[in-house]
Amino acid sequence: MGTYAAPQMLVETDWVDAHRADRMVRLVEVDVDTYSYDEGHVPGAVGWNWSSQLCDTHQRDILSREQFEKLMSSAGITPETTVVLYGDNNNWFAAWALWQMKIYGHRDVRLMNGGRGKWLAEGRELTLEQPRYDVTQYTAREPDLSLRALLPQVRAEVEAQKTYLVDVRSGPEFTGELLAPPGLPETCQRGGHIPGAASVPWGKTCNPDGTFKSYDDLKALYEGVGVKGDRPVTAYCRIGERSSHTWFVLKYLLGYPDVRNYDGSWTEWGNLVRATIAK
Amino acid sequence: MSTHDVNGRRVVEKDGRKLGVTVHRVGTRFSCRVDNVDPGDVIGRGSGATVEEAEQAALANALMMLSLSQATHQLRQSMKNLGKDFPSKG
Repeated sequence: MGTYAAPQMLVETDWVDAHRADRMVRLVEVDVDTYSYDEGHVPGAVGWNWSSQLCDTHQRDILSREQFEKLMSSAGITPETTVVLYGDNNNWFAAWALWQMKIYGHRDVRLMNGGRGKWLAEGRELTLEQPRYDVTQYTAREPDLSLRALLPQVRAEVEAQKTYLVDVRSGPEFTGELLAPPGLPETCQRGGHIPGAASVPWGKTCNPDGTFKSYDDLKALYEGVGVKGDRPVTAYCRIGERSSHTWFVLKYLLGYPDVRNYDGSWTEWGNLVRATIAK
Repeated sequence: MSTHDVNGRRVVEKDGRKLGVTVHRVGTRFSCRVDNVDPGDVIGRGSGATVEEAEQAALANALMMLSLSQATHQLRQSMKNLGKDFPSKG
């Protein structure tokens, strides 16, 4: 029975319950449903809105270093703070926040295993009270771009065929039957996937209670489609959030040495002039 | 504590589509969110004085979103088919 490569990247709900008043620990909720936080959250947790606080709202991009520093400072976070992220839907958007925090070099940031759903299922305390923390002067590190794949790199990877590409969208999105998940706007010209990509929908990495599957199960899942740690891996989805969850799994739970998240994802590739697609 | 999960998340089928339904009590009212199961985007929300009212409102919103996206998909297909007969420039 194997063990996660970096088990310290996960904390259980019991740990969070025991440490939620610890001043060196900051809990942050990031949900797909941006209204959830206001309807009740773990006492002491601050809430971040992925659609307005975890992206550059003027150009399509992740937060700039200045925007990131401002967000951390406003949550009372210092570079020494242990940040525990959690959210709904298997920590989907919590992983998006974690990916950006790692890009800007935050040392100790973790996910609460099982996320908001597990906290609720266990009947743990919730509050409507929004905590206030003293604003800090957070200084971020230079962005670590080895965690991120941008278009020129992905194009080169497709050509060289020396990188594993993992498409984490649903089966019908992978085959081009759907251009977007049900109920969402179609944001690309064409359906399909990047040539050479393996299909591993992101949700397959989780148990029904939202916790991550075991090391052995995860290893079997990816190795079953030929994705191993012997080459760089680039994960992508539609807009880069689902794939940040897969990035977390591959990097910290399986310990693959070189994993990137291609946040341009299908909304970039599927609209690109002269980009080959596969169906 | 003034908020809690009422009965967890359950998956229902409406018009051939699977939808995830979650209801919470917020103070004296109920709030419902409906997601598209895979990947779990919230596509409908609603609130009401009872669980049923909240669910009904959220499901109505979700079905509207599904209809709109389905209509867009069908329109795109129709335009594509038309384009085969009448190729356009620009």
